[in-house]
Amino acid sequence: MFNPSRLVLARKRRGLTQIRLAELASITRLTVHRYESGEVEPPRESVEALARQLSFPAKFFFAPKSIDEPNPISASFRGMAAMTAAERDAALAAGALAFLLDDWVHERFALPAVDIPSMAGEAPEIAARSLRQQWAIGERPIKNIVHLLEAKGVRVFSLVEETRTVDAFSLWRATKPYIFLNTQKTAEHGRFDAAHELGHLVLHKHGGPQGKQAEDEANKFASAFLMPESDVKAIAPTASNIRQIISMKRRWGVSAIAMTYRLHKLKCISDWQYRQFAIQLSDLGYRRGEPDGIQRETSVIWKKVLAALWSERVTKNQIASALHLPVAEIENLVFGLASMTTLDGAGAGSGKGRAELRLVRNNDA
Amino acid sequence: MAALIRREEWEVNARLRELRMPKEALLETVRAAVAAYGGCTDNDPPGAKGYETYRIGTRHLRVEMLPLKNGWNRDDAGNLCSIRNDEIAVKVVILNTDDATGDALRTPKNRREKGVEHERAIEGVSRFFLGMEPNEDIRHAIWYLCLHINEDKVLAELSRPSAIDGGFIVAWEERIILVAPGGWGALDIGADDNDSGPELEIDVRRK
Repeated sequence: MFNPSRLVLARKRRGLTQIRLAELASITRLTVHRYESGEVEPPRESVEALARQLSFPAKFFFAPKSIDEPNPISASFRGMAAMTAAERDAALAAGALAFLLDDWVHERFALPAVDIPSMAGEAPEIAARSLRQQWAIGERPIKNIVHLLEAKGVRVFSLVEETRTVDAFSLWRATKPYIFLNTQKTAEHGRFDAAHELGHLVLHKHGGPQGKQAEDEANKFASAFLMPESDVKAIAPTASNIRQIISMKRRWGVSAIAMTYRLHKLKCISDWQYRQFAIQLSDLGYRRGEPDGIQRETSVIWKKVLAALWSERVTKNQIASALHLPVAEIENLVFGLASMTTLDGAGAGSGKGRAELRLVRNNDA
Repeated sequence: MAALIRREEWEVNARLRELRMPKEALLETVRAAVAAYGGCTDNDPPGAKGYETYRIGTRHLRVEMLPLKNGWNRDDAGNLCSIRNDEIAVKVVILNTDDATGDALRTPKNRREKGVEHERAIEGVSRFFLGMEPNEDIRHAIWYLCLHINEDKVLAELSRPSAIDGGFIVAWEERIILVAPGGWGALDIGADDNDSGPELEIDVRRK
């Protein structure tokens, strides 16, 4: 039986409006609307046309299992200000597909238990320090934040969004925390995004502030979590020049801009130095990227899961087939976090861009 | 004549109070100059580091001192860019100096030859101390905020010259040491890998 909610999801995943999908599939917008509302069941040929245009297997639309979709209200997006509704919906749709994949993995593998306390109402800096204490990681730099999150039961997925506006997002799905990272960003940016989303999970599990205030709190949390005050002040009580800042940012695995911001917040550098360093970093290209950056962090869970599956001769095509998903979507969800060569030798990058995420004007609303 | 050197915290602070210059404001100027120096790259023209140190040092000295409302004003007269205090008859100019800066056992010297405006300012002071009438237009004692910046090596002092020869200062009347050798904390950030947490063991088991 045709599952209308799956059509809506696939359309949103591709960033399409109903009008645009109707044009592509040579049907009317009203027809698309009727299919999506369940008012009318589409004939086989229409489903195939829709499937073709959406690059989803036709079987996807007939799967009985209703898809658990992330709630836009409960998801915390980093980079929200510049994001369009279509971009947000496409990212959330990727989240829904991740739930499918995650459930499939959970049926077959025992993963670390969740250990993410709620510190709602706590000041972000204090929450960051408390969490470090609770996790017994002291004041030292965090070597690999993706590994740390996975060890604490967070499910980390990749977002391969062809947009600079969606950095990351996180949410609680019942008792399970999820973080989605845009793996097109620099490694340093990704680490900060991961810590930022951890901040949302810890501080805003039960709602709380929204919008800019919530984002500010998550930023403060990330800054304090990645660059603990006592360690920064012990190692780098001051900074005289950009060269020193670049040495520091390597130690804490953050961007030069984030490092400078933290030094200023901790009063290790003056207002004037902060402005001067920010200008110099911009001149040197540190606003556009991270010259001589660190290595990207990858997922240990995906590596182990994919290796175990490969040893059983389970390929990504088989996983995609079992879930009725495009192979490219499976690849995208672990892109940059694990090498898909462990699964079938096709390489991690084959999914990137295949999803044909398009930006369209949402003019049928 | 040997310079009067002040290097102990208490005597430095006491003298700076008389000169109406908070030490922190002077150190902030040094930090700004160091940041400006650090902003230069190998692609900048030779001399850029020295000029940036001077330019930002001068600007920042004014940024720090003028708002204090204790007599300091900006003065660019005679091609000598300074802060000037008429109430205590003092001018302060930024000067790039050699690595004898901040060292009580050595005599600092400016790195580049100075022109006639500096000679007149310094000689005017000398004439006064020799009991002679100073030059008519020289009414302020000139002090230099001497800066030596060479990568991570930073030295600074606030000093009053007594003699200049061939465009180079050869003697000082009084020197107030702000950053002595070894006094500017060089940072040892440490190796990244050895100082971060251990690898985490993450258990993933097949059901």
